[in-house]
Amino acid sequence: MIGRRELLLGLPLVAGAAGAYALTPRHTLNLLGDGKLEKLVPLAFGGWHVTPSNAVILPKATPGSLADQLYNQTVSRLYESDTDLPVMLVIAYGNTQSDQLQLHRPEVCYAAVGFEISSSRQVEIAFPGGEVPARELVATANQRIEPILYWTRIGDYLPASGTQQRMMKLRSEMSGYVADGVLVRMSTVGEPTPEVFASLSRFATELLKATDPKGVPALIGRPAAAALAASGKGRNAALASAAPVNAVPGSTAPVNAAPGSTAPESTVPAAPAVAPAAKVTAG
Amino acid sequence: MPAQPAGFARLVQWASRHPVLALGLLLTAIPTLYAMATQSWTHESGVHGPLVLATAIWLVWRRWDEIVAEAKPGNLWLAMGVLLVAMAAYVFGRAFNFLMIEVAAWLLALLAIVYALAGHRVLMMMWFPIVYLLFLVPLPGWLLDSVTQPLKMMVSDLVTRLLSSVGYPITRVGVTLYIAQYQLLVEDACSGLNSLISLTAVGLFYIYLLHNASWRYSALLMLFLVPIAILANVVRVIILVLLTYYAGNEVAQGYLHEFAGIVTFVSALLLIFLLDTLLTPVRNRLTRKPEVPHDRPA
Repeated sequence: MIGRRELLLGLPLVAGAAGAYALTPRHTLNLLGDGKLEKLVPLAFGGWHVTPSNAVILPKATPGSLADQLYNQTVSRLYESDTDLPVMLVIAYGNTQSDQLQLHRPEVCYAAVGFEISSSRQVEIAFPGGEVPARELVATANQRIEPILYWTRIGDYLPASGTQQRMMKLRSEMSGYVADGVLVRMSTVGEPTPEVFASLSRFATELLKATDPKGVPALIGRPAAAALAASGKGRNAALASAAPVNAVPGSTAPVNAAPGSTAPESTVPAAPAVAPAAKVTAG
Repeated sequence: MPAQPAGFARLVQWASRHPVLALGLLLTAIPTLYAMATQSWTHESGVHGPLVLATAIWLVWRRWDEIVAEAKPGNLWLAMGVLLVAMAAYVFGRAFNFLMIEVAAWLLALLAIVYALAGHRVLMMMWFPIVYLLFLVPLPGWLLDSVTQPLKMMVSDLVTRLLSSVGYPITRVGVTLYIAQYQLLVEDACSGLNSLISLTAVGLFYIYLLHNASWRYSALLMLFLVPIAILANVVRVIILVLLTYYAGNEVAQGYLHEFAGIVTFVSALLLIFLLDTLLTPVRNRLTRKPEVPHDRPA
């Protein structure tokens, strides 16, 4: 005694459940694999070398905090140079980008700890064989001025704004996989002159050239990594060279099948209320 | 209508009469509930979720007999139109992990089905549980962030003005406060946005039960909730600033982790009740004409 009314109302529900199940991304794209960023990113390159420091304060807070859930690996270092500006480098890698849980752009992080973003513009970081869309920011708090250069990666995409980041996340999910993501941020303290930004950009280029080829796709995605490798940086870049643009999950090595991996842990900031002594965090 | 069975048996009876519908509802609700439980309810901005769900079910449950008595099937084609739109959104939200869209779409689908089966009069009668269920819709982090930032600025600014007007040596740069030799950073929790959402839900539920308030009065109260949340958080930050000033950093931090959240929540709730008392004449005017009998059936 199933009535027409019931069928008409019930079938769309069943179809919806089935449709959602069918369309749910079944793969995760993990460009870092089991690599360790701490090892892949060299301690010295292009005249810069790491100096032990706690000046760069990380988004890595207590276990269970937002930063802890957002990022699986973070690298935070202060590089000094005899001829160039000191650069604070933060690389934050998260293997799952979801709506509730995706990497935070420095505009948000810096503002959240009391900086004011006084300028923001899109730029390109050139590397042998291509360029990375990036963003230049000037963050100011009290007497501290931080010129910042950063880029983000979602899967093989390099979004230059928050909106693009969400669109590209959606695009990768629509093609059937949940992407990983990375934030690479370089900053220094001082006046935001063009020379300072040129210096940050030079640091970024040197960083890409010096990073272990196994780690380059995790920083800029496979297409750009392939371009960098093809530009003659070295013979040992075989991994990147095979990667097609917009690779379909399942077709290339770094795509790991992970059935049922659709509901990553999510979060909304649950920070302590008032913290003493503003620190330069970012995430 | 056969004799009304009580409790859980009602649901089973309903499901056995509508197997396709019941199956469809289960197949869509269970994954969504799981996603909410793991992604939203475990976080500060979503802790009220299970409470809202349980109380909403109870609100419907206690007037079940009235609903059955008033039920008259609605326009099937209108319901179908809404349902199809809702399911398209549901598939999108569910498959691509937009929890907000998924939950909102599922609630819309439920609304279409209730309308088809029971008609618009039941919907109007149940306006409160329907609005109330919207508190289940989780807002994505990036959206919360963009609303939190201006609220934080406002709270910092108010605290600085209030305290400096009574002579404390306090200044502000952005969301960093400086009092004497201390420096305090107003963080996200201080904007009160997270607690605001839970607070609104609890406050509305309480006032609805207490007064059987009309939708007009509830809407009026909701308008006051943002200022209340700001005020409650101004109180929270002032307490912290003064504790830091008089008792030092450690005491303030101890307080912060033990009591700050509860104090904020309770002071906000008290402010709501105070406002509710002050607005009694308005409430009486707005609720004078009873739209539906709100008494509980025997």
